Amino acid sequence: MVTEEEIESVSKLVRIKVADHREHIEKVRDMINFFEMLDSAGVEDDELVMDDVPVSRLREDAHESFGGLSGYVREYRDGYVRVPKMD
Amino acid sequence: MNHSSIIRASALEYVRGVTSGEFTAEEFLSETLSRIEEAEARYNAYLHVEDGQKLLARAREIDRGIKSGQKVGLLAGMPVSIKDNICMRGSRTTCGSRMLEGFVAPYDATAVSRLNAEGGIIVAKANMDEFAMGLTTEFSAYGPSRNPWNTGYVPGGSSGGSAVAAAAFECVASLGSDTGGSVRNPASFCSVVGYKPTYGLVSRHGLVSYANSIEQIGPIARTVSDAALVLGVIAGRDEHDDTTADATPATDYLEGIEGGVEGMRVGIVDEMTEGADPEVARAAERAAGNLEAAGASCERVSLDMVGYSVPSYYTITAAEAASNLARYDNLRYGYDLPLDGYEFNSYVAEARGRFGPEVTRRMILGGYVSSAGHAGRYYLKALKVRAKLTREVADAFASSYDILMAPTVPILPFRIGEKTDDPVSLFMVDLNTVTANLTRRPAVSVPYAVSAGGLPIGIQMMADSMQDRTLLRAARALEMRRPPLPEVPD
Repeated sequence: MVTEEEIESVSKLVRIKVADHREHIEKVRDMINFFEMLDSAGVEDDELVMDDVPVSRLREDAHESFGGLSGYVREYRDGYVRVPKMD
Repeated sequence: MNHSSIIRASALEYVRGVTSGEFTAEEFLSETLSRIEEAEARYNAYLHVEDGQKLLARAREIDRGIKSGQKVGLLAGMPVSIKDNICMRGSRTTCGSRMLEGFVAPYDATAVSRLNAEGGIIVAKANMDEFAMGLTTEFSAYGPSRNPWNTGYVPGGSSGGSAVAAAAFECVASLGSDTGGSVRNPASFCSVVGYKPTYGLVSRHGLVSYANSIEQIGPIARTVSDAALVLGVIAGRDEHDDTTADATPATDYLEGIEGGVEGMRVGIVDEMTEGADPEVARAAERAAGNLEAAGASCERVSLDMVGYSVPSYYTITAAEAASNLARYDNLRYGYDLPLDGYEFNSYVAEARGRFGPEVTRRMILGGYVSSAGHAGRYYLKALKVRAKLTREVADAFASSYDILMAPTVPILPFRIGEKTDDPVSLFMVDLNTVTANLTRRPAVSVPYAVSAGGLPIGIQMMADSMQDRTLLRAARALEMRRPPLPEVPD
């Protein structure tokens, strides 16, 4: 059974400030408990099936300009995007 | 009805009418814009309606082309709408979230380019659950859309705005996106056709990502043939989306659509019908009877892994969503939150704390189920269930069936607010639709009946990968054989 402390820890890792504990943490716990149904699916010994996409199939990694950043960024000054300071 | 009858035309009727001179594209569009203005206060289907004068100018251009015998494309000025998670150059794209407030798409999605190239006129961006996470449209940051069959009820979701718009004559057809039933579920709840193509048939380039390995853009329209027409316009290989299929079939999905179901083998999926609302279950039985009367053979089939499809689906999509939504840092657009006074990570956390409840929960879920220490129990197991379900479905198609059938949604539409406080019970609304997404098969919801309480019931059909033509043929046969449907109230 997942604990509320574990969920609170994950919410910090994914960088989401949770104001309403009941609205989020308790309901996420209910959801994860529901996911535990997967334990009875009997797939422990099954192999994972993954699709391989050959590099040759990928499009050329070429830059495509949409006219610069200035029209799409709110805090844009002198060619730089302004962001909060980093510790 | 107090709006002009021409806007009730199906897509095929529109094309015939406008190219034969029965009406002009400008007249039709003008009536559609009037209808939107009149209906939106009740339905909230649209988040943004494009500039009417520019749209009418485009319609006049189409009319001039028709008069002078130029090619005007398969859609010939048809008013269409698109879900607000599909990018259209120069237009707002919010995904139903204030996190994208102020974002103006710098390019067209491939599906949009193809609609434009065939003469479609995109009139509006449709309401949706925030980032397509939801199945009622109640999680839109801009308020819920309302079901035109009863405005106290949800229209389904997450492409609820698209389904409402098609049902309420606010466009001829609309594009939605289907991650776990988000085209078929609202189509069922609003009594229109919703089509989820085979994964890889339609480009996702320009669709704001939620769960890349699963989602597809698909049409919502008032008839099966209309959905087939729009599918033909948007389908095909795209160099901008490496998951689009190489061997795309010919794009005319109308060809052979009237071929019927004589000799087709139809499996009625036990796990998708047991436990359904009695009225819904009876509708599914009658639908099977209709197909048998048309020459198909129907029998019950059990797919064990369907019972595990919902937790598998939510585990995988939550993990993909948490990864996709990690890009939103509120720096380019989004909430009105000044930078000053915050350290970078606390700023991002503060901004993301303003996501709606469903997005918040799924991001935390996604972080949890894919994290070290938990991935083996949840995410990897969900992938194994997906693989086993895919084998089961592939075997069913290879050995026994052309079509798998069930109610689209096991319950009737419900009241707005009735289930928002119980996310796990909302999960189960997806029980019948997620299998097609997890296994990448095509599926369609066909309007079939209206309950005693006046609420729509849709029937879902699913076919094998790239058997979209077979699926459309079966759907058209059911549409032809179903009992007459009442008109949507107004």
